[in-house]
Amino acid sequence: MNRKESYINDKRRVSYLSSVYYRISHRKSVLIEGGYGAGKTRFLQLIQPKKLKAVWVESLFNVHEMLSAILRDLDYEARASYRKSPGYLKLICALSHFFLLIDEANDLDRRVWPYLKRIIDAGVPIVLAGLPKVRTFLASEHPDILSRLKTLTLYPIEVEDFILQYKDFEPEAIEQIYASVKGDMRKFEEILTDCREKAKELNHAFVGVNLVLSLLSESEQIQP
Amino acid sequence: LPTGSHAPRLKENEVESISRFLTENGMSADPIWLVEAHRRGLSLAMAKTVYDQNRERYEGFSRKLRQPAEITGAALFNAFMLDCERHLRNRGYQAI
Repeated sequence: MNRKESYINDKRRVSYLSSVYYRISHRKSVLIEGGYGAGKTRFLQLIQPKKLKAVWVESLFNVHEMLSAILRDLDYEARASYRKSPGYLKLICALSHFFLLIDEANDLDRRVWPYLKRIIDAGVPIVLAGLPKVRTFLASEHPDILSRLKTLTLYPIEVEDFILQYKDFEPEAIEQIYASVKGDMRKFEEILTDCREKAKELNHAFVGVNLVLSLLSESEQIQP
Repeated sequence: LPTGSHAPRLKENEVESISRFLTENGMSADPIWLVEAHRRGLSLAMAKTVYDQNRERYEGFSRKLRQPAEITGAALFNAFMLDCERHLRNRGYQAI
């Protein structure tokens, strides 16, 4: 993915990305926490270090599927099996040219965490992203794991960045959309698309604030 | 005990004061968002400062809108809250 195409010039995110690169290059792990639609997944997609291979881990997998999937992604032949998992864990811990990316860490089975701890301790960096409840869970159930992670809290992008990014919208129009979604960036993008389509229908080259407000009130996104 | 209009009234809290101030200035305040903002540092004095600093912007914005009064009020409130967010951010508070 082209960084320029996909990345909004938000200073906090730029700083977080540097922090993540620093951590994983030193074989350390990171937890990125944020509410729904804060942009965690998009942030993870931006992590593309030159020297380490990114291995995406499905957080819904059980531990056996997870270990074998990691190895398959690293071009090993591996089939999920209760008997083979100890060997797979040992092999993963012995490798060093990759790091793990785990999105939706709040979906991880609680039995997976001790395995992740072994992997972290072996010097394989893990970048986890999830809802704030991941940190709450780790603080109560696995403080030892939490202490190994640097936590970065992702806040929704500031409205000024969107105003700069979306030149085909009137700045006030962007403000109204931003305010109405209350930090849910997924919804923000959906509304942007709807507004663009409506403007196209009406042959408007520019999306004005009145058009946006009409659409927001139709969808009850803005309420008196 | 006195009843009706003679009954003693509870003094309005700060969020209610902010809400009344905004309503008097043509905005439809969202109480939930206001409570949240208050929790993060928004006071009545700050609300008045932000309003005064941006009064012309709100007047211009209001003239520009061709929407029913309720939608205009809600849109003005949105604009005001984003200005408060900027104000709090500049003062080192966490974003609303």
